[in-house]
Amino acid sequence: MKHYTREELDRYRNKDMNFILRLMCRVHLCVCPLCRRQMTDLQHDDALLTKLKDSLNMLKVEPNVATYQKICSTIHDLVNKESSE
Amino acid sequence: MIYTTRKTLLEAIKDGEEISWHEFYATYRPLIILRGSDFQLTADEKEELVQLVLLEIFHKRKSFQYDRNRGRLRDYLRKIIGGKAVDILRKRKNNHVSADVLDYWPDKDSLLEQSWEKEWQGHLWTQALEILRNRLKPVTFQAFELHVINEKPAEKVALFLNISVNMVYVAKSRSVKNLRTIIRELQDII
Repeated sequence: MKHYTREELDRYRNKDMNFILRLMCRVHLCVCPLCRRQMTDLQHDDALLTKLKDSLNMLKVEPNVATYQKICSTIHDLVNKESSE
Repeated sequence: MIYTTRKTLLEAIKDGEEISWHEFYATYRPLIILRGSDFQLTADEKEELVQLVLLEIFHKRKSFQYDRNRGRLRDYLRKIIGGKAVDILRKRKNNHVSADVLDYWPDKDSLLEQSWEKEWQGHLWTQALEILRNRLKPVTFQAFELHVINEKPAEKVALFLNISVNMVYVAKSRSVKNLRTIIRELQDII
């Protein structure tokens, strides 16, 4: 029995396959526990990617040039002061 | 450059590597700003918090000893950020501006701890993405970023990057596999 790759199964569940291929995949999934397990793994991937996207949204902070320049200049001064001592 | 395997960013700063301050700022500013929100700091106070934390780390960098057995980087940063946030709140109180947060500060410990855990995990994920960007071929990362992060249809991504639709899915699969490894590595290091 020919098994589907992870990518093919991902395409199947995203309806990114033509009708005939989808139908064949569906029939295969009914009889193949291995590919069904792959489908479960893909759901775990979804959970991981949701976590990633939530994190990116949570930590989305606009840059602040003024703060950056102020810090750079302060640290630069401190480094100079240290090296002259 | 992303510090993942040999040494932490703090150790690089300690060693006086020039690029490190910029990277430290870029890496930790979002986390510090977010933490500032837990202490109900204003936008200006959060920027002040970023500066105070960076200066504190600058002053303490030479005595910094990273030892996983003595405490994690996560805890080290939590203490510094928390301490500086409280300093700002105290200053606010001295200026006779509302300092309600400071008044019930001791009772907030567990909530603040929970928030920090969530923020730190979020920080790890964002760092993992940056590491992934450096590990994958540019076209693979772009396909992943456009299709998964920006939620563009695989077909459009394929057309835009001049690759097959299947390659977009391969990029996604490869990225997820790598992300799992990177997250494990990060949790192990820091």
